[in-house]
Amino acid sequence: MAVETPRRVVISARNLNKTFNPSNSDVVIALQNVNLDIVQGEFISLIGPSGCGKSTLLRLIADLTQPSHGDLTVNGKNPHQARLDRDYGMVFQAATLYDWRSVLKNVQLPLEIMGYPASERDRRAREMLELVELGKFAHHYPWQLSGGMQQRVSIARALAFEPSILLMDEPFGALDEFTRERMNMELLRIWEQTGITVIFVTHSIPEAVFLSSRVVVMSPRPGRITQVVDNDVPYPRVFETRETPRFFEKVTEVRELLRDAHLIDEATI
Amino acid sequence: MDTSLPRPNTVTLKVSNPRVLIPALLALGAGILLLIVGVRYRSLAQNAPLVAESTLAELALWMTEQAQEDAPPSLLGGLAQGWGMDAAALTTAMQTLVFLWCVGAALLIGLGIVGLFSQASWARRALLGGLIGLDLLLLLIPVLEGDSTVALILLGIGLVLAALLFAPGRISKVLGFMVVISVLLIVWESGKALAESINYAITVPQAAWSVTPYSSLEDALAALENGEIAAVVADQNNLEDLMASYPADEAGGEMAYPALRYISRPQQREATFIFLMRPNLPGRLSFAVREEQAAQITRPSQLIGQQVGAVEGDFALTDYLVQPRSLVLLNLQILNDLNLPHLQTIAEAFLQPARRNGEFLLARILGEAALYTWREALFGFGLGVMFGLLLGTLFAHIRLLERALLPYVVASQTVPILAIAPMVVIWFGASFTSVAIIAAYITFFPVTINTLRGLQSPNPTAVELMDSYAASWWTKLWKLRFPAALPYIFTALKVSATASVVGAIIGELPSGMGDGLGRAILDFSSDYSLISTPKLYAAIITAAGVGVIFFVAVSIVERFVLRRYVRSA
Repeated sequence: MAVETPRRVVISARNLNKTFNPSNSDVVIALQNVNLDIVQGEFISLIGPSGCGKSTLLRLIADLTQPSHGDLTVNGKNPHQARLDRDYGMVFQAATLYDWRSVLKNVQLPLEIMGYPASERDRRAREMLELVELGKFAHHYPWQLSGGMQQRVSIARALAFEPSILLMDEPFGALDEFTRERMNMELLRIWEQTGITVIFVTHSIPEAVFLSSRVVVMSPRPGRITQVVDNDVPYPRVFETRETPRFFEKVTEVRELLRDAHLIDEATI
Repeated sequence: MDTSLPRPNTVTLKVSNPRVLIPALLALGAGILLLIVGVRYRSLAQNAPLVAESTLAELALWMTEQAQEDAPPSLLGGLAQGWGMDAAALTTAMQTLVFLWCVGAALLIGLGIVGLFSQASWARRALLGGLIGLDLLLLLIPVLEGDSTVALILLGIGLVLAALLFAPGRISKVLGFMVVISVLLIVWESGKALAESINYAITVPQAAWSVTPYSSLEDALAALENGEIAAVVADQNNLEDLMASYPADEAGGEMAYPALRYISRPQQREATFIFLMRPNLPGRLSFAVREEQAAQITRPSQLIGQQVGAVEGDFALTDYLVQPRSLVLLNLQILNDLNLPHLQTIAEAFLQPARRNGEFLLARILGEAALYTWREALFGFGLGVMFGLLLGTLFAHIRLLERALLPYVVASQTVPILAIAPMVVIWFGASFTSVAIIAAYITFFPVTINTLRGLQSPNPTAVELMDSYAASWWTKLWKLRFPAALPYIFTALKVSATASVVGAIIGELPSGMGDGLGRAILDFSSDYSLISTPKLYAAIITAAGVGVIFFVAVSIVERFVLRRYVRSA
């Protein structure tokens, strides 16, 4: 990107609140007064301990659950409209591939639902499989693939209809460390190639720092944003990036924020 | 790596390997037995019972009878006419056929032995072929008293089974099936032979009667009056004119023997614990005793050990008192020829006219009945499956409907189909439709339950993925819920396929329709006799066959449709 154009705000949250079981005694405040702006092309990580509401925030953006009060816009629309307009692609922690469909057919699934013609479906799906480097496995079935490969198929599926936003809910949480690092590299490459806005939920501090342009640190009970850390570790990030002092500094910064949040949490209990 | 090392010579090892030698010897024994049976059957004269009563010789007789007519009504009769063979020639041909069959099976076993030594993977399959050949012989060769042919065949089957068990390798599905069938056949025939040899009961002998025969009833009763004997066993009819009964009916007139009483209602069946005494006291017999003892005597065994009298040549003596008494520990009547016919008798029933001098073989009549019943079942199956799919889909989408109606769907299956069937016949008439509706009534339940369960089976994330695409409920149903439900639905279809055949047969009973298997089963079971029972078995086997074929057909479709699904097994 040679010319810096003023970048559009893609997601905007104002005083966003989400309460589960509001009338019951086991009321859970999942999110409290969340304010966050995400601009186009950003790679945002949501990190925090269990119960901090990071997945809830992602699901609110996806309109898979609705806020208790507060404002949330996705691409300038309310989340429901954004979902109907298929503005985002979603990657879950489990690959969630349909067993009875081949890899190619799984990637074509959103295109089928959205009514793309057959030839276009095929072209795009194959293109996406090439992007995640699984072109040779188009006619395999999910149960024939490893966990990492299944998750790559699920990323290809999320990108197939070219949404402007990619929502990822701990997508590499179930993978081993080695596969996870390779997947991180791959995801960065795809992000740089497509220029898509990514919102990435994770438990892993190095993963968040390695991937994102900004890290949103959250704390639990009630779920809220502790701080947003600007991550100036320079792109393109490569394997060696993890060994640079700047990377370590950022990891330490996030870790300390998380520890503080955790201590506050312990104190309030 | 040194590749020039000489390969170890394993050939000599193999031959002396007991894991091969033992099954090979066992199989060799079976092969020899097969040849003996074949040669013996071929070399016997046509009027020898072993040939004359065998399945194919009886069939040859029927075929030549059919060939006498101008236009034989059946295919086999037409064939016999075309060949221009008389009964003798055709029987000889049948004998040769059985002989060749034996030789073929023996050759397969020989091949299996060769395969065992060369450690070929097809060794077991060849032995399996020999086993099937031996099993089939049981359907062709009759069981005759004093003839050991069938015993040789059973021994042969046992040897091949042992060889298969000892032979190395995995047990395939077909092999397992045939092994179980063969064991069943052995148990069937040898069980019958054993039961016959012990007169269909396992018994403990009991003390016998001590009888003094007298030349006339008067002599016997005089001896009783004198106290020489404890009782006289005689027909009650004869006793009641001579003496009063005990307990007394009513005050009678003057009797010829005022000091004697006959026991008016002796206990006829006696038992120790749960074991019955054999023989029973025949209903026409009773005891005459002295008046003072009458109160103590109620059952025959109370007189055992004492001297009793009877009239020479009388029924009481010849048919009751001289018979050995025994306690029956286990009654094996179920294994006699009336209850459990020989395998060959059942096979022969298929290849004989259903009625005396009937035009068609039972096989053809049952085949047509089976086809008719299967059409009813298929129609009912289709109806039930459509209804079940619809109901299951409705329940999966409308919670209220599930809550409200599912209890009634369950309740519908707790009512015996036998109670529903007559009503359906009254409502819809004794017709094909009624039977199909009854079959559908049984079929729809498993389909409904499994469709509901299957449609609800996708995990929440799989549904959320659809939500993230803003998919309509129809898209969710068609692209997610229905494909996910298919394995569940096919499980139900397999259950329903067999159930629909049962439903169709039960439905035929109250409708009084004469075309299906239900009627055939009813007919053959109403006349329970040595002639009819094999036909009843034939009808039952046919009914089971229809169910199995339907099940297998659905399984094949399932395998095709679900070929892309996870191999969970």
